Amino acid sequence: MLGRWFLAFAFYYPLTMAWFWMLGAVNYYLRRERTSPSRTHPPDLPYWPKATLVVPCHNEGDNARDTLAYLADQDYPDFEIIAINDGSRDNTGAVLDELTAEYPQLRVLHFPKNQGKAMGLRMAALAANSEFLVCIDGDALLDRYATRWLMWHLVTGPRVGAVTGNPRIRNRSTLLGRLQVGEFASIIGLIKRAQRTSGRIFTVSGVIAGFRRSALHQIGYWSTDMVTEDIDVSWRLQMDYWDIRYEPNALCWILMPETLKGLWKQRLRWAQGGAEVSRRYIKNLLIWRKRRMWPVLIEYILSVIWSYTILVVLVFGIVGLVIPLPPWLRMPGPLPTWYGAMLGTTCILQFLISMVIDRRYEQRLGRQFFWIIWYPLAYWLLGMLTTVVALPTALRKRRGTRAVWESPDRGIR
Amino acid sequence: MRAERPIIYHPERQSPKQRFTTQTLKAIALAIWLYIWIPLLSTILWVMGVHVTYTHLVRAPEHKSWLLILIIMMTCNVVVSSWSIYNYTRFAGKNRRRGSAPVSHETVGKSFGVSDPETLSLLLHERRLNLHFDNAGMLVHVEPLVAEDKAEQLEESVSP
Repeated sequence: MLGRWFLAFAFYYPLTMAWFWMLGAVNYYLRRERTSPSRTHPPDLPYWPKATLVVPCHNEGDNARDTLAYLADQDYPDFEIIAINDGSRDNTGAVLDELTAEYPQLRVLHFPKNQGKAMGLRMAALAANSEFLVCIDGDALLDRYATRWLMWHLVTGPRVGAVTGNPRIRNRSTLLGRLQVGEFASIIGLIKRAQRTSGRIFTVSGVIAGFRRSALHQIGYWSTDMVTEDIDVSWRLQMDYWDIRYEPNALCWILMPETLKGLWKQRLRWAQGGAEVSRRYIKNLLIWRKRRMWPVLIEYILSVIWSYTILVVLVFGIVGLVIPLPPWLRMPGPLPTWYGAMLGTTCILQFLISMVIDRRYEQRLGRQFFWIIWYPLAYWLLGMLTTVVALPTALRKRRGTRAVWESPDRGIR
Repeated sequence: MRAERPIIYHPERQSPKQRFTTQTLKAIALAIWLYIWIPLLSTILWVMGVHVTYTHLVRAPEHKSWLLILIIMMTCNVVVSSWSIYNYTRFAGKNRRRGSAPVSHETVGKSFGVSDPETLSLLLHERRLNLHFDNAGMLVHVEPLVAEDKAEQLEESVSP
């Protein structure tokens, strides 16, 4: 009996969520995306306030030149760039200083010691000469029109506190890289669209997001003690009744890990970030006035329960192959049956829908579809394991522990 | 009685050059092996996926479960559509809450513990700055970095 309940939840939760994501994303596409102008023709703004482009860097000596070149080439009439050299041990500082001669809009803040990304963003907000901040990572390349797209939302929506863009993977040499191309398009893009339809977003993408400084000021800016400052700031903005929008036309080309170790570390950090944020704000959210955030919180909690459920199903499924278990603890073997086939087919359908929606942002995306067959196996397992490992770490973490930079794996270059 | 095997196995005695060459060749071989096999494995996975789907969903479908899936799909659709329509009719074109006025540089400065106008001016206008923090993460000192050519000019003008 117990085993049946576990199995039912393990099956129906991802199935239901997949349908929510697909239908929400299709709804978003039909209502907002299909009729929007093309990426290279962003709408005109009623006025053109100054924008501050912020790029925190830690050991980005190899990437800073490209990142800054893309930033300086933005199709926006009035902007400054603030680069933060956060205790880098390589030549990042020298490169950024050198680039100040090349780009008159560029200003550089040097931190002698590593203070963490959140502190870099906080200091950029302090040094900014504008009300609007467009923040990207030090290894990301911002599409020429992205600033205009993000600024359009911030200027025309007085209650828009933040806008998140559309990260696209640059490095695709390995299977892990190619899988992430599909993942960012289908899982992440689809979820962002669906959450935008529902009204509340789990998180902005830390690698590309625009912010209104007065909104950040009201919530006390980015927290320096959360491992994922982007999830934290997203929740606090929305708890303060600011809207967060998703703009798929605001592209940003990013580097992702291409080794198992690098990917594991990154996903563990993401999983820990979600757990930390939920733990910190769950009490504040359990009031009627914050009800619009409830779906985000409930979905997160269910996803954690699902991870542990899958672990139990897997463990008892394997143990059951060796030792006879009582009927109420019996789980199915590793080979997929009707349930596995249904989940796998739904997952593939989800990818297919996302590829159709996403094709306007990237040509020949369908090529990556072939590799997606690995996704249900590899990434669901990875997601489950990172959540299982990260939750105890997040629960044990003491408040106020500063989160500082660790250079991530950036794949094959 | 078994004969003692006259085998010599001392990989640690290889010269660094030999070791490097061996490891490089191994890595190349592994890369080629993976490069060849991953597309094949992916194809096999696709074939297996299609076969499992055909076997369980088409050839011998469980009708009761299909009905449940249909109910889930319909419910999701109704929830998403109604929520979207409700939000559109209630909130489209209306801003129930007002936006906030931009915060002044002085107000932002105060929230970071910077009330000195000179420091604030440095932060807002200097192109290269060193920022120092205490252990609690509070900004304690802001130091402008003079460009090298300017520094040289300054030194020349000061020197007798």
